[in-house]
Amino acid sequence: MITMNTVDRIARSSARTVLSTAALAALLALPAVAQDAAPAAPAAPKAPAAPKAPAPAKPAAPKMPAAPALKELPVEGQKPSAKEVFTKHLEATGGKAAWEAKTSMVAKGAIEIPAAQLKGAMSTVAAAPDRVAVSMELPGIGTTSQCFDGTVGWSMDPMRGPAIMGEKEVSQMKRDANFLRDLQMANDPGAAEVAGLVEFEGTPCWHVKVDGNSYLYAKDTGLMKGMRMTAATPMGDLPVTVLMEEYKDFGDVKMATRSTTKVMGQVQVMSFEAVEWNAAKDDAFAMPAEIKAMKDASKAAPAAAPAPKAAP
Amino acid sequence: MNPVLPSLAGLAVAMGALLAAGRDDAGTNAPAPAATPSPAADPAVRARNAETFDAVWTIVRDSHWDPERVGGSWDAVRDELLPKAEAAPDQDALRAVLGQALARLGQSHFAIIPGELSSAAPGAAELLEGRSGATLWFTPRAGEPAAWDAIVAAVEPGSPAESAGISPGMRVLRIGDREPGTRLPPGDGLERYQRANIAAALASGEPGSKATWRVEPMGGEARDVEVTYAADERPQAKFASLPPMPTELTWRHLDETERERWGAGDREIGLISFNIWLIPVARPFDRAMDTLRTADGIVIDLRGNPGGIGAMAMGIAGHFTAEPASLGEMRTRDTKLSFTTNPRRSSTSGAAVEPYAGPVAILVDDASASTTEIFAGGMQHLGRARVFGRRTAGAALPAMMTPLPNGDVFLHAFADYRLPDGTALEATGVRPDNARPYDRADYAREGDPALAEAVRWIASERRMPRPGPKDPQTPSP
Repeated sequence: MITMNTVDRIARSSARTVLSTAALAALLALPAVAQDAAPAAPAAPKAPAAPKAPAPAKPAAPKMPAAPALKELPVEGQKPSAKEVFTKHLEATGGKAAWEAKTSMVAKGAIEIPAAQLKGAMSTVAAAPDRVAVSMELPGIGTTSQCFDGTVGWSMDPMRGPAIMGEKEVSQMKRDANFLRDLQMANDPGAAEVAGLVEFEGTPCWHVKVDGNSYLYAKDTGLMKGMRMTAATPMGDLPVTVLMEEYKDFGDVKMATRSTTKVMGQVQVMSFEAVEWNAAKDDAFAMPAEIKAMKDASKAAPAAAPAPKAAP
Repeated sequence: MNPVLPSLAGLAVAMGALLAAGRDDAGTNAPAPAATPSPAADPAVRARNAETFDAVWTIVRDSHWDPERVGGSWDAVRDELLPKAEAAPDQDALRAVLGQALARLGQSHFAIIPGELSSAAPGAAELLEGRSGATLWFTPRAGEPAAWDAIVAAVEPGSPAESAGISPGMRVLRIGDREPGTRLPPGDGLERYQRANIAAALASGEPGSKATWRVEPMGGEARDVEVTYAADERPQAKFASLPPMPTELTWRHLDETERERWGAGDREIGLISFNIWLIPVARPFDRAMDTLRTADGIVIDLRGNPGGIGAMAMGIAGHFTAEPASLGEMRTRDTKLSFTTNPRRSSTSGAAVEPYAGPVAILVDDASASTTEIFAGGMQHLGRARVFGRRTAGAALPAMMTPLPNGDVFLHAFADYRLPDGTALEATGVRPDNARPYDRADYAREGDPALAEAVRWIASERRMPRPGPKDPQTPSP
């Protein structure tokens, strides 16, 4: 018996891919010196004298990179339990029976980073109990992938090279890769609690806190509207916000086909066009030769390169 | 004439440094400014101008890592310059106003990339400048304040400059009708990088065109030589909204002549050079390391390398660090991220290897910027490399690009960057480990004093143990 919340699955994939995206696009470091910083510059083409008309009003209040606090809304009556929120969500996306028939998922679509004018293909393959492989291909970057095979997590990244994930990343990946997670949460929400009713992207949502992360479920439909989480990366923890939209039916279940992820002031949009159920193949989670070599090396002799030491 | 695109350095040049050198009056690149432009009268143009200015202004206000820097004074910039932007009669005039606003920040990585130069623009790939193959360097002229000597710091083998008889250490008195050492921005901050970019622009020209260079050898008579600029045949890489960039990595072992000249004897020393941090150099670097892993030392030549994708520094540095180590840290208003090395424990063929443990030298100059500084500064700080050459540009801030309403692209820094001990690289740069700064005589005598000193240092280090035939450090090719 297998079930999962595929919507959640894709949203968590979004959160994962953004880590690579942040590394490849946000960290672009190109030099440029502000135009007229050179004292010896000849006079630039002079703009004509300013018109006398008053300057237009300043743009709206600063949009801080950090996600603003969720606006609390009044709750009429008693707020639902986490179990009730999870259960309503499960039913809204197809129901327990429909999800129980699913053992794996292959989703294909596109990824776009509008600010960087980057657009490419991406795919997510997930299989019970806790395997996941996410891959994206962007022009000028190539293919970046992350995988968790149930035991080992790794990334293949043209910028950083192949890497085996550290303990913290693997722990997060294992949690996110749990194909059964949402059924389990509906059955036993554990420490999950409903913090209240909030406004998230203009929609009243139940704010459910799980493991320090926030999950937002639309009050009227029960569908997951998004999440706010802290993502572990090799560079440190990153606050990530994911907005999920445009739910569509794929067979007998419903999924968000568009997720917008915000991280470090950048926006990444994933859209899924095709989903196949129970079609994942084991080779999607196969360890590449470079990762296997690194895995083997970790069992072998201690490292030869000198441990870096801080300069005096 | 071509717009300015002699390499990524041209990007910065295009942002004003070239104009600062009066390149336009040399008749080569920049369009001459309109004499007295009339204010824009078309309401649609005015609205678009205002929208573009506000987009730039707002991005800086909302994403600059230091809110105090973009507080009240940034409001004043808008009050002063928005009306001028709105009245700009054409794109060049608007860009000039935007540049004026960004200059108030006094930091690198704030610039407008003209839409017609982006990778997506038709014909952008045809705009590359021709190359002379000479690298120029400005050094203060002794006894004459605000005067500079243009010195030939390097000449590429087989280049037009070499064919013309130009060699390191020569003083360049004139190129065409330009005196290279005049009208340069003084100062020791970002001005050094501007001067480096001006030097790069001066040494390039329209492909196929000719220019007379008046050069003066050490202790010799000045003479005129003719340089025919060669088309830049290097492969071009495209990334996001950036102009197409020549992208090249080369590597080799130093030959016997070089080893003998610089006292390295029979040491095996590898030399890897690449001109930009873009993806097409990543895999070739890995392949070079497959072969150089057993060398007695490795020299990484990043002179003139203006940066690129910052995250690549973590992958390249991982070839030389046994454990994950921080090269430095970037800070936005609400986030800290460490540039942590990724120890490389597999070869490109999938064999298990260890990161290189031998001595590493990194060559830099005042045109080495951004990701190059993140890499060189971090490796130096970790004690994992020695740095030779000239102090780097001091233009090291993580940046991103955002399209603007007028079709241009705004390159803007969004984070501070510091070494693990808190030292900023912006404006100061990476200080090399040379025993002393090189002078003209060093270039004339050594040809390449930075490489020479790096090789001597490697030769003074212990030899690398040679692996046995079955040692996993020797992957099959």
